[in-house]
Amino acid sequence: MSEFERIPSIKKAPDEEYYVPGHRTCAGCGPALCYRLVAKAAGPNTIFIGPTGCMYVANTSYGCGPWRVPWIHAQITNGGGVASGIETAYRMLIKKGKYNGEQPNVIVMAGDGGAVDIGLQSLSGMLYRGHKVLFICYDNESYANTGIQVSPTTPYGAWTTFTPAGEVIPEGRKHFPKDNAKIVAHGHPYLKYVATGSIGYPVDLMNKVRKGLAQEGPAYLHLHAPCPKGWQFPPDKTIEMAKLAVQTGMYQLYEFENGKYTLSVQLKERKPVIEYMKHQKRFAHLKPEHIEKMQAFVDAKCAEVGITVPVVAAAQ
Amino acid sequence: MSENLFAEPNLKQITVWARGVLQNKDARDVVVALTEAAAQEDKYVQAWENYVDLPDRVYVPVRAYAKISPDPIDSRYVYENDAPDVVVLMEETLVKNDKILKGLKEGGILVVNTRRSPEEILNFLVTNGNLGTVVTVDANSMSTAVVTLDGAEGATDATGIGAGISAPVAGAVVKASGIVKLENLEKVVKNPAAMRRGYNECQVMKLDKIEPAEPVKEETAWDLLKRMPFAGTVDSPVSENPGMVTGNWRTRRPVIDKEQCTECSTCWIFCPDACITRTDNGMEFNLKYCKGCALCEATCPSGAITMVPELDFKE
Ligand SMILES: Cc1ncc(C[n+]2csc(CCOP(=O)(O)OP(=O)(O)O)c2C)c(N)n1
Ligand code: SF4
Ligand code: SF4
Ligand code: SF4
Ligand SMILES: [Mg+2]
Repeated sequence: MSEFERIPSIKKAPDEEYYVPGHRTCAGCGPALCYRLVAKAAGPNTIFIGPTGCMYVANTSYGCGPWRVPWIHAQITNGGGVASGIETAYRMLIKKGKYNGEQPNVIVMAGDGGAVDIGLQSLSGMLYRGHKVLFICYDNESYANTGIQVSPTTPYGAWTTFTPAGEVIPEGRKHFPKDNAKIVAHGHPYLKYVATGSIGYPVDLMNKVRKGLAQEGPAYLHLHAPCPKGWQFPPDKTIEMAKLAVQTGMYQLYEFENGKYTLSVQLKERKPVIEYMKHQKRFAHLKPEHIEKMQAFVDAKCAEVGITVPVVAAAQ
Repeated sequence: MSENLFAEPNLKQITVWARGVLQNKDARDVVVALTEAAAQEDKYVQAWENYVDLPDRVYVPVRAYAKISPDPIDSRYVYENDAPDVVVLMEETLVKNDKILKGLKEGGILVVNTRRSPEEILNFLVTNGNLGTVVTVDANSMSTAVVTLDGAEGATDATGIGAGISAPVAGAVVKASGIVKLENLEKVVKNPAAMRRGYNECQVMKLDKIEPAEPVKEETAWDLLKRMPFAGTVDSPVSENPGMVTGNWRTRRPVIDKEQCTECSTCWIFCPDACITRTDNGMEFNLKYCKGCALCEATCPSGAITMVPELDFKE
């Protein structure tokens, strides 16, 4: 890994924007903030690849876009493939003396559909071949752009248009989510760096972007990005949702390097998952037994990465 | 002189503007309720949403349309209403959007869901001089908005028609336009009591001929097409993307009290739309693009930001 400049605090974060005002994302869109922070951390020598999803469609309506740096659309299936080609092309042009600039940062910004489901093969191929690309999944926990359909990262118990709650399936979504950071981390010998991040922790997120870009090979970031439309909470609660996800352990922040998990936030205790779920209408239909099932699942997920602090309910 | 073969003199167009996601269902219900009532009177009808506005995003202005005619509708594949007889605003700050009255027919009607009076509403309008009647109805006090993604983009909808603020709004439309019979509208809405309140309690103001304002300059579909890239490239913006100005999404605007601000930069880092700039003069807000999400207000640790209703400001 080469050196990189750490951002010490919110106040000392760079002023320059590379994802500028003027995009058709929802008011309070978590993935839009995620894009802005990633672009801010990456800086001017960057090329973005945007597989289909909200962060393609909402950003490019119509015939224009908010990126100050080059951006290219990829199919939802093949962000990793397009990035591999771009990275290789620059490397070869530089090697043959046909391009005098520095190798650009090549970053894929894929949704959970484009990273965890329909684009997973292309991501895996890119990691396996060892391309120097930062692949980012902004996780809004659904196929959001097409009107909020279930994806493999949709939480247990969440309403989506494909998992309505009813008499037969009272919890709506029956499955527990796929864990892409771990799928990716444990099966790709040339992968250098894996981390999870959250828009609720912007300094940590931006430093993980810089660290990912400083690797000599592929890196993968899984970034939690609450979606007011799909999760059905008011747009001014996006940051509160992001923080509560981490404080309840619903979403765990860590880095994975050399076979080891390092926690990024030291929690003193965890809040019960209901503290997070109660603000989102997608969970409004759940019964106490469903919440218990969710709590047990989250407890196990936390233990997996070494979050051992107790769950403490707020004093009444 | 040859007759205009495409003229549809008896066709009525209704255009409903609303805020994306939060009012999509109620906007759709207004056009569906009115057209279903008209169908009971053996009219030809169409009700649909503007595909260009989809997928809808939180607060983005969206349009739902109705066409109602005693004659077969020849223009049924023209999917935007170009010359509405009635324009409906499901939310009052949409009056600041200079496109809402575009193409309005002479003597056209504007119906606004607001607690304010027609006179107040008139203050904000950019009109083409054709506006004949302004109607206000305080629908939010008569019914509760139905916020749901059911029925959006092909999803099923079992929530029924006209249960929310669509009912009083549709009632006010009928009062001002007589476009359908009240008893037929009553048959199709789920909340007929609220519908009747909208009909009875709305304020109707007839206008004298008013001075036309400057016509709204807008790109035609052809202009858009010409600059639309196809498997090509467009230039990157530098400081803003003028192709997607989002300031008119806002229903409230952030106002900062610089005395209370500690310049901690929290609001700045969390604005998804990069609408806050750190300057020598403190935090500056970019109202050309600010969508009014209120994340800045919610995250400020000092309580220095307050969201103020957009109609408290003329500009
Ligand atoms: C092969 C293919 N299937 C389906 C679609 C339709 N589609 C467009 S965007 C989208 C949702 C993508 O979800 P995700 O990757 O999670 O991004 P999000 O919209 O949630 O940001 C889908 C299904 C498509 N573009 N291509
Ligand atoms: S649906 Fe969700 S991800 Fe898509 S633009 Fe809206 S808030 Fe952002
Ligand atoms: S309300 Fe605040 S956070 Fe939201 S877009 Fe406007 S300036 Fe940004
Ligand atoms: S968050 Fe509040 S105190 Fe901090 S810079 Fe913004 S307005 Fe000032
Ligand atoms: Mg998604």
